[in-house]
Amino acid sequence: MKKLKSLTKTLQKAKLSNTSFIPKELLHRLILGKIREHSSYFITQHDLRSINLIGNVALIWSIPLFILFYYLTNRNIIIAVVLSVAMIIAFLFVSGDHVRSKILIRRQEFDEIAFLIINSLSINMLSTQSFPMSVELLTNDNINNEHYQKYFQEILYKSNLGENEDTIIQDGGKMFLSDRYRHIFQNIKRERTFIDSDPEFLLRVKRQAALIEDNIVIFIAVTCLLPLVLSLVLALIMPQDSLSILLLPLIYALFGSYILRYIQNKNFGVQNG
Amino acid sequence: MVKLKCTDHIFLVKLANQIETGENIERSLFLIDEIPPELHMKLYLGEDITEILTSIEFNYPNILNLLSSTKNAEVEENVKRMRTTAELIRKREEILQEKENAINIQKRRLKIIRYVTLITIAIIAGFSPLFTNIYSLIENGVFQSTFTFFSVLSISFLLVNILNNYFLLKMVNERNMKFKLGIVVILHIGIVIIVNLFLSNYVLR
Repeated sequence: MKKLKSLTKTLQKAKLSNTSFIPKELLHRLILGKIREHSSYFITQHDLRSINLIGNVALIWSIPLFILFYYLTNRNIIIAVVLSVAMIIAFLFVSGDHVRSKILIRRQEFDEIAFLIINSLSINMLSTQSFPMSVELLTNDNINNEHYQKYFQEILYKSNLGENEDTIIQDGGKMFLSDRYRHIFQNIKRERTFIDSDPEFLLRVKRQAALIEDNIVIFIAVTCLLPLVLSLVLALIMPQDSLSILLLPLIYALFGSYILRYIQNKNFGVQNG
Repeated sequence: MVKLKCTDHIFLVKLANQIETGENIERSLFLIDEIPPELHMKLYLGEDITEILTSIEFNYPNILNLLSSTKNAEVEENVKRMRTTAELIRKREEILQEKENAINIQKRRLKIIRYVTLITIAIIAGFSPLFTNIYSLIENGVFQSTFTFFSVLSISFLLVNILNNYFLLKMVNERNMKFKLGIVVILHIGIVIIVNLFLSNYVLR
């Protein structure tokens, strides 16, 4: 563990995490996918850096892997290339998925407290009667959630620069996934914008729990049967030292992370609606 | 950080009650019994109210936002809003608790499934030399009894097992993933060694 940490540290020192050998656009699209659209505010610099790091580590590892497989397969170039590419893609997917789900958890946490932000903004609006002032009050206290604090500071910065307040408020609403919250935020300047009840939340959470329950059944069916069958097949039809054995668990890795991703997207799709 | 002796929404309701009776926010903090005595001490010493509030550990840290402008607002409107927000927090906590309970049942199920598949895959991995000997028997007509524990096959079994556990853990956003995956690796290797010992001592002498 210590070795790994020191390795990542040295890699960071070498600025491996700042620049990416794989085109950034492609890498981010591959790993982040749809969440780039709906939760872009929650993707921190750190996440992007770790994605770059994952891409670079994968690329660097591909060379020794290729050499290893080249000699292990008795200098068969095609199999060596296929194996090392499969290894790297599986690594990219599984570790990219880790970063991705972290962002999604952050997003969900924000959604759960969004009503408090809007309500306090509305109280601030009542007492100060000015939008920039109330945003300033919102960001002033030592709130430990840096993501939306940064977001509101940006709003404050924009309004200090003298941009049109209404357009800022219109754009600012995009932060909220729920239509109702967005609407309330965009009408914050009116007197009566305040969340006093939240029937949608109950429905949403219930639907979400039901979705997890349904998906767990599917997922268990896949994750239980597939590795079991896979391991039996592996044991029966392959000789012990054939390298093509390594391809099958990697296919499983791709398959599994795709299912996981699908379920996460579905979870958020429901929240959107 | 100091913890309150009550939940967040009760604190908010009490604060709203005090403010409604005409106290200012400092006085009302004095009058709430659930606030720990060290904070009362700080209030005596005349520390800034925002600093005292930030030193309280709320479940919803954003309550601080709500309180940030109570100093210079109209009382009535404010109190009303604080009350409704407290009510909302209470409802939400109930709903989230319900959801948590539902997920916990799934977690227990997943735990059982995780361990069952883990042990099954590990046992198959342990017996795999036998299967591959059948393979070589069909291929060459010779039954090899050479056992190589560190083969490509056993590495790929370990990979499959780790991946399976990773996906199942990730499904319910379990914490301490690294620790749990470490247990998986140790269990897997242990079971494979035991099965191998059994095979080489009792079955294929």
